[in-house]
Amino acid sequence: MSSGNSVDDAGLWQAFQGGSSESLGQLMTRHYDALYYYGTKFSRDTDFLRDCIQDVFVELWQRRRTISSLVTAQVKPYLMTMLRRLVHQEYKRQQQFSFQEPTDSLPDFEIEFSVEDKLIDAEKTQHNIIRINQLLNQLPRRCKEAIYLRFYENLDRPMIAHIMGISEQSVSNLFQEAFRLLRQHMKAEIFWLGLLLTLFH
Amino acid sequence: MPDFTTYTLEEFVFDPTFQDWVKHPTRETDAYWQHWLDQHPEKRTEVEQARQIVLGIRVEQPTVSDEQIRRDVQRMLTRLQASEPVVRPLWAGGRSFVRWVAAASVLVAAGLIWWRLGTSTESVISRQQNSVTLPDDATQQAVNQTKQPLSLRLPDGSQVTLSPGSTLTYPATFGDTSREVSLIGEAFFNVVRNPAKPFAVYTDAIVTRVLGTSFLVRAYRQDRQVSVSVRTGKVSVYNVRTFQAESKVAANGVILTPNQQVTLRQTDGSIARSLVEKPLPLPTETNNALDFENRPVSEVIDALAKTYGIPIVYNKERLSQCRVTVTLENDPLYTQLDLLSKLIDGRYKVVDVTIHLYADGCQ
Repeated sequence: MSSGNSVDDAGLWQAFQGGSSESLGQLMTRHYDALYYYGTKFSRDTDFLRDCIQDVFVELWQRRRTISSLVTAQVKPYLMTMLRRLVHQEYKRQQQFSFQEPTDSLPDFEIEFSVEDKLIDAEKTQHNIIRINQLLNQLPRRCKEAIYLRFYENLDRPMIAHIMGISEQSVSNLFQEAFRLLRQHMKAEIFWLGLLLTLFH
Repeated sequence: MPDFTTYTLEEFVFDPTFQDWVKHPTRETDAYWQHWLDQHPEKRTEVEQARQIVLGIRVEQPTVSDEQIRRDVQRMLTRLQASEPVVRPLWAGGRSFVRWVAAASVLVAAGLIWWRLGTSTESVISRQQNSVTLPDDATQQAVNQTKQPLSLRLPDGSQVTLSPGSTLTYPATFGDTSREVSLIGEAFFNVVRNPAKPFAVYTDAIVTRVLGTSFLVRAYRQDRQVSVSVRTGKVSVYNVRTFQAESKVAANGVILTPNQQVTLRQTDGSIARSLVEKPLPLPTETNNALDFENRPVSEVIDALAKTYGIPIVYNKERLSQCRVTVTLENDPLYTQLDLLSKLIDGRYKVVDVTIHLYADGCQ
């Protein structure tokens, strides 16, 4: 049911802080996908994840009078930060309440990058891209998480730092490291051959 | 358009416009970029490198249906209601009554309704919600503000005895695949058997699931623990977080049989399975003779175990010489055990959900 509502995130945020649960519901609807996609990188247990996503908004509601007001660009990162924290928190807590033996592992960011097969026309280029893809998948988890947040959620460095709970400098370092490795690899390959083949199509 | 001439490899990779051209090229964007590359041939290598990285960074995102989103949003909104304190009666006190309230301002999926109370222990003082008119297919809520237990009948005929200061929430009609209610406080349930529609009681921390049986759930907000004790039949108790409402087979539950209880302490998460304080004879075992005249004590012990559905462990060999004359009717189990122990000069101990009887034997 489309309501044609074009209130931006800042407006919805303000409305929910003022006591409108419908606005909170709209915020959840609007950002559900992003939260779910991000959350599945930490946990495959979709029921658990769905509970956690709800927990984010229930907690927001309970804290609506004390949390700060936000501009539109800040809303999604704020929600993602909360989700990341809650997934870790609830995972740990659930271990306590579960009827099983507790395990020590807390959910790590897990992602598998793959290759855009359909868009690659030359064999040589495909070879390069597969190698790049392998390299990307071998990066440390934090690098991958930072890449995911920047590539798929288009978040800037301060926001990535906030979500991951690290300093902005650390975020820069993560990207620097990733691209250092990529450049190193690309120098080693006979790269320009592939270049000539693909740019003239 | 940003000024791509100053872009580094990294900046190309993460630029949405660039990504869009690489992943979804159109005639216009192709033209734009070819033109731009012609004007900046020194950037060709970098652009190609960036392009290859973009093509190697694909992520398969899981599918999320609109239905899933809609449902989860509704659940969240329902939980907001539960995290608020109970609404005060609309009319003045003095008279004792039970108030029936339909959950206001929440759109509920017809049939399947459940809510799970928030797990936060923060108390939230908030303004009362304004009363609204009853929507159809509303959640029903029974609040017992009297000092007496209150009986009520659920849509499927199941009986509930709601203790004072308790609230039971349930739908006007149960769904097709399950019967779900939620409880704050204490209630005794006598559930009509229906294997096709498992019955589940949700409280803050646990879910109790049955096919048809009678049991008590105690989950007062102010208590630091939740407990479920079984009168007849069998229930399964699950951590509310791991319970998968959509699948009828839930893993990791604790199965309770009559006279057993499980207590979940919310402060430290410890779980204790034990016997109920006052075990009662199973309704199906009313025909057992508990009148023994000079019978081997093992007969008496086995009869007791059968009557209550509680295993009693003892050394059969050691006690094989003991014979007793005793009538055990009408007394509570532990009184009966006390008597029996005295007769054979022994003692007993409750260990988890069994009873261990120790004695040295008879001459």
